[in-house]
Amino acid sequence: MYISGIGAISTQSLEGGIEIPSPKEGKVPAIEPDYSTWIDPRLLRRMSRIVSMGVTAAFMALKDVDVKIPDAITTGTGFGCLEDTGIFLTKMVKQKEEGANPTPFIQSTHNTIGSQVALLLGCHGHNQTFTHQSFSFESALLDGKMLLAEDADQNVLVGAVDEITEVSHVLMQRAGIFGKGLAHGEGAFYFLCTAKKQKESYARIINQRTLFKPASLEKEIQLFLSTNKINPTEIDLVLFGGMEQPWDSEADKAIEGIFPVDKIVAYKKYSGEFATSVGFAVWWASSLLKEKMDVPIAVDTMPKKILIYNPYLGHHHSLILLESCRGTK
Amino acid sequence: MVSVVGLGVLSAIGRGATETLQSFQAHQTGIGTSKYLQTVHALPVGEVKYSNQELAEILKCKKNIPRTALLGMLAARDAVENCGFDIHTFRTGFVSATTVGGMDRTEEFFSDFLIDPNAGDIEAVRFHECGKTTQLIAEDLGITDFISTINTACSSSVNSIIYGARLIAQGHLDVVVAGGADALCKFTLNGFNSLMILDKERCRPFDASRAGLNLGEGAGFVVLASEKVLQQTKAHVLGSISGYGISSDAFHQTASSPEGKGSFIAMEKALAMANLQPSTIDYINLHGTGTENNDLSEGTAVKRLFGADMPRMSSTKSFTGHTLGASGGIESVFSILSLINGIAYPNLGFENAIPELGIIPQKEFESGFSNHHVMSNSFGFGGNCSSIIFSKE
Repeated sequence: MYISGIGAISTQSLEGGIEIPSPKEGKVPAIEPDYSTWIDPRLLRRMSRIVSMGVTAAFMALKDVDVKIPDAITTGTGFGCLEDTGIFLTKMVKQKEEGANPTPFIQSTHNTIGSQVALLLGCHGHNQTFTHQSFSFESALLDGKMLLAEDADQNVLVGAVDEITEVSHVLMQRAGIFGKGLAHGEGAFYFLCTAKKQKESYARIINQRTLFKPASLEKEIQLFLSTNKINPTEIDLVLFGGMEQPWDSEADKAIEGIFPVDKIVAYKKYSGEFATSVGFAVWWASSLLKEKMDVPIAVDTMPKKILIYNPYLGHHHSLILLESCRGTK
Repeated sequence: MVSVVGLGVLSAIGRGATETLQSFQAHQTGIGTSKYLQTVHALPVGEVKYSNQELAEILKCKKNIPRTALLGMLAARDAVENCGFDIHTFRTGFVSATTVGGMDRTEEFFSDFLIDPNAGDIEAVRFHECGKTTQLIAEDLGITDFISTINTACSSSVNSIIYGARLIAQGHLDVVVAGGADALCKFTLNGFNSLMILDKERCRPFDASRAGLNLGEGAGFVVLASEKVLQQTKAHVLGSISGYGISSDAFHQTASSPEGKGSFIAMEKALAMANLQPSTIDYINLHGTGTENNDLSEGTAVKRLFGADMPRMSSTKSFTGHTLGASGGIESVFSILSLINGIAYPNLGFENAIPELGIIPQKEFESGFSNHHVMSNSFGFGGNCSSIIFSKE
């Protein structure tokens, strides 16, 4: 499967490479574009921030590869539309279930983002929304992969979207999600995926795997590589989601047992932590593989094969293997 | 072909096939006044007849987990037990669906939190996200090879069954326990109430006088298996998934298009995949929520697709209420029970046809007819439309 178009709204400005953002009050919010250049302002007024962010990223990905309407849309979001959920819930509790406003309820469902993309494009094709913690985006990506296996002539828009809200930040902080030194991140990423290489293609996704509470992490990562006929020495860069948190110790051990330390980059310093942060890592890896960005560390040459590994809270582990498609057919 | 080899269902009309079919046969609705949901609104609901305490006792599990997880765990365990072989000897996945997840616990937490941001038991919120409910059930079932969760509003759990079937068809897994669960909570009751689509009486799907839906709760799961599993076990095939269709109505965030474009495409895709003519469908389990908009839209699409040759059809929501993210799973179980036993369920509360449609759904419980193909429809907010066809081998 090839990543042939990308739309990304993240902690990074798209000009001038990648840098570590400075957290403010523990948050690294996305740098948002002027949504009104992408969405009719009359419609925009009624959209929540996460929906504007998601819809715009989807439109960016389509424009990137000059596709008007995709054949299918599949979206991953760990927490869905938290802002509207919070608004509706707060009012419901404060007003003791009286005088509820339907608008935030309507926009609170997780599938609002993907549905709005379809609605604005008039896309009647396959449309799904996955919401499974850090497997949300991975599930959507697998949905896309299966769609392309079912019909190689279509294109699929695969997304990862999550937002920071005031309430969710307080709650996640109290729940200890950010451990030590991790900032709360957010972002919207859509990838137009195709079965065949396009001239615009960024990278090829060789394979992916999700591991829920695996018995042996190192063994599973080794197995994933060998199944895909990749020797660990062929991996030029590992975008690693671990951040030396108490729950990361096994993941640290596993990854450092397989790869030299200088090939491992902790990507969450750049993206912040959120359920669909792997969307950020795929955007970054794809940009590197297309040579649209400087390499982040002292590797000898532009990377040709990148492994993304996200060990989310010690129980949800996901692997995505990408390679450069320059010079291939 | 992906086969269904196990069923588990829990709704306002009972737990498991026997209780459920008895309720249908007796025209006994599960909709009534809520006993466990604490709300200021006096609205009829399809509540499961067990408290959280009772569910936890049956399950021998912690009682402080969300009600969605308790309901889901019971139905999922029943489905796994029903399939009669050890699912753990295969590559097994769990794909669930929910729209409220742990919202009931979050609601409790918010009463304290809104007074003081440092108050409230933060452990309650840990269960908030939809995927957490799935995780709790997967851990209970001992499934680790693959887990995922879908939330496409009211079509969520038919989509998890379709996703599971595709994972097997493409060789990613051998067995998938798929379906969904949703509990009644104040959030959805107030949400649907604010949209003014809740009927103050028992709902009357496809009736001219219909005035909205009743919310319900429950869980429905199926065990799906590959051909390899059938060869290696004594699994009893209950039915197979012969076709499905997923589409987007792309009309409005909460309303269906008047012509039912999304639902028409979903049903048409399902028939095409199953390589079936509309006339071969023996029973349709309609989405039929009882709202003005859904029934007219769905009925228009059904009429266009099936023409004068209408199969038996009914909505079961006047028995269970609309169980949102669980409805596709629950109604898939109903559909397979219909297939096995040649049953068409009564469309309780129907008196007069919608004038624009003239569709007369199944009025009485009927059993023993020759049933080869059953279609089940699920449509959700945001235009997420899905249709699935279960067939005898």
